[in-house]
Amino acid sequence: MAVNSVTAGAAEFVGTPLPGRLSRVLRFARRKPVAAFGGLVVILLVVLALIAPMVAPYAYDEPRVLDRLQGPSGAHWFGTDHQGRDVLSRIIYGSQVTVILCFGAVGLSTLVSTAIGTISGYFGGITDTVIQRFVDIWQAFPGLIFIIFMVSVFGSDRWSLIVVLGLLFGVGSSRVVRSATLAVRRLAYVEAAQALGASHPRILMAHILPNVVPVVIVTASVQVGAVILAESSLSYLGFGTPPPFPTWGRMLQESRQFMQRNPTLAVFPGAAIALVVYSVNMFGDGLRDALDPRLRGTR
Amino acid sequence: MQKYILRRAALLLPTLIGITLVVFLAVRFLPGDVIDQMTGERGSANPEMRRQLEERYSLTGSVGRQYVEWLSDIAAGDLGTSITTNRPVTTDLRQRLPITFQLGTMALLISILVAIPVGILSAVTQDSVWDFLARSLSIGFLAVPSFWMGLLVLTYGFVWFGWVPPLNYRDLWEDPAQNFQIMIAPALILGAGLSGTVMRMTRSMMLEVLRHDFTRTARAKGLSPRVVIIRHALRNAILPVMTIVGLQVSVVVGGTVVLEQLFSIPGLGSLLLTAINTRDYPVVQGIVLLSAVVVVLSNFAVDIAYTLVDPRVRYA
Repeated sequence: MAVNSVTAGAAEFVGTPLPGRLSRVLRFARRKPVAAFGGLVVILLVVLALIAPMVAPYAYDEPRVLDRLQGPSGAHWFGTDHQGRDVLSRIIYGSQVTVILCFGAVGLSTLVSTAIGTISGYFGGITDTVIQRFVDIWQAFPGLIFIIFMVSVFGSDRWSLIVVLGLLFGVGSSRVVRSATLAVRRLAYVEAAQALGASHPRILMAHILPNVVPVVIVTASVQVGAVILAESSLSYLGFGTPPPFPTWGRMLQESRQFMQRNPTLAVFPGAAIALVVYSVNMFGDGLRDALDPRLRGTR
Repeated sequence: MQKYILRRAALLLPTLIGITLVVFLAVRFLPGDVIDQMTGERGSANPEMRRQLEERYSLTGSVGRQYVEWLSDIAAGDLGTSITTNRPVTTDLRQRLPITFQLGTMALLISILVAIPVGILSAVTQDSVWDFLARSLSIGFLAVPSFWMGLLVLTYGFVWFGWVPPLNYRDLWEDPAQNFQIMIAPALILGAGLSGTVMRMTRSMMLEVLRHDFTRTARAKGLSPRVVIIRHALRNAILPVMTIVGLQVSVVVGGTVVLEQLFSIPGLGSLLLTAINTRDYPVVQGIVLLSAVVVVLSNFAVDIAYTLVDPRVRYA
């Protein structure tokens, strides 16, 4: 089973002493250069979000009416928008929204999927059936429509978005955690713990959880890309976090009617989204391959 | 097999009921009162009007009774009345659904027609330049948001070629040529986004099947590579691909919202956006409900198709 080999791969990694780990990271970079590149972009993005005010050449809401709709130049590398704001600076500040929403939503979704998945898989029986029917209902709603609907009801401030996205992706991916739990729960040491009279919470926390962690990590890495795409589509449609703070999706929406006069307005924010999603996906793919030796070279 | 289909159909009911509950309850969570919001938009707080509105949108009585009434209305084919246009919601849905259906079907067909042959090619020529190219493209398509691709097509289509999609929407039966001109670009964009997933699935399933003994036997018998690939390998690889295509229906339905907005196509997606901006909750409820039902029914259809294609599949 794939799940077991992921677990084995990760356990081997975690068990390696620190210098060994470093060399394994280097080997990962050599074997999977694209995945390593993806990881690098992700790290750079987080750093960029942290130091945005220091690196952005202009403020994100600094209009210069005389410089409206300029193409890329030495003063404005990515040009300016319809209010004369510097596009590069807005993209740099926009990375903060992307990073915060990703950490928030993926963090919440990981908690949700782990809780639902392990409980449903461990207890089985009627608990499992009931929970899985709820998951069915949840998954019936097309993602984007459900998010738009929920955001229109609960509002679109940062926290609502994190909760809506986190719940949506968390419930959706709980199935993966559940199947990993199913694979672990019949193993001898779980039965041994049960025979010793350990309580259910204790077995879940001490025996099941550590063994599904690699699956959880891989699932989370897949979700980062999905969260970014969902958030940017939402922003583009006008349901994202409120202005004036820039988000990449809303930058595209706001300058929509000016793109024929300055076509580069259509290019840079979207390229930022695509680059980050691509990098995250590549990194996630590499991570999965590295954690699961069985898949090496198949995908 | 009939038993399987019946049992699978029985599972539909609780799911459908759950969907109606979610849609019903979510709207009840609206901050403030629905009527307040409606009257607020019109600038009136007249208690008499309020009472009439409550009656009209069946907002009297307990929440439980409201739900049951709403449900029985739905069962009778009545989704309520739009707050902004005063038309029955079903009238609007009936008018808009075929447009979205056409866009979604075109996108799905494009994705299948592109992804399956490319996936096969990629698997057969594993690790060649073609394989690398196909994989890179499919991964690229997965990372590019469809609204961005649409914006680029619209912007650079105009800047480089002076191309603008026709402004007035024409129905497929009324003016097929113009309809095609409007629909083809969004269908291609949506289809490209979908094809990434389908292509990757086709490729990895083909790789797996091509390693099996029966494929080697077929080759050893002297069958032409074409026959081996199409008749022996593809037939066995296609099932998981079908499942993925079935799951894509949900992505398609969501994706049409963005592309309809971009290309001004008067389908369900653009109706949803207008309805949300005007707080027309009967219409919003209707569309969300309809889209979820479409997804559930298409997944059901895929499961049934599965049993028809593969005799091994039985209810576990």
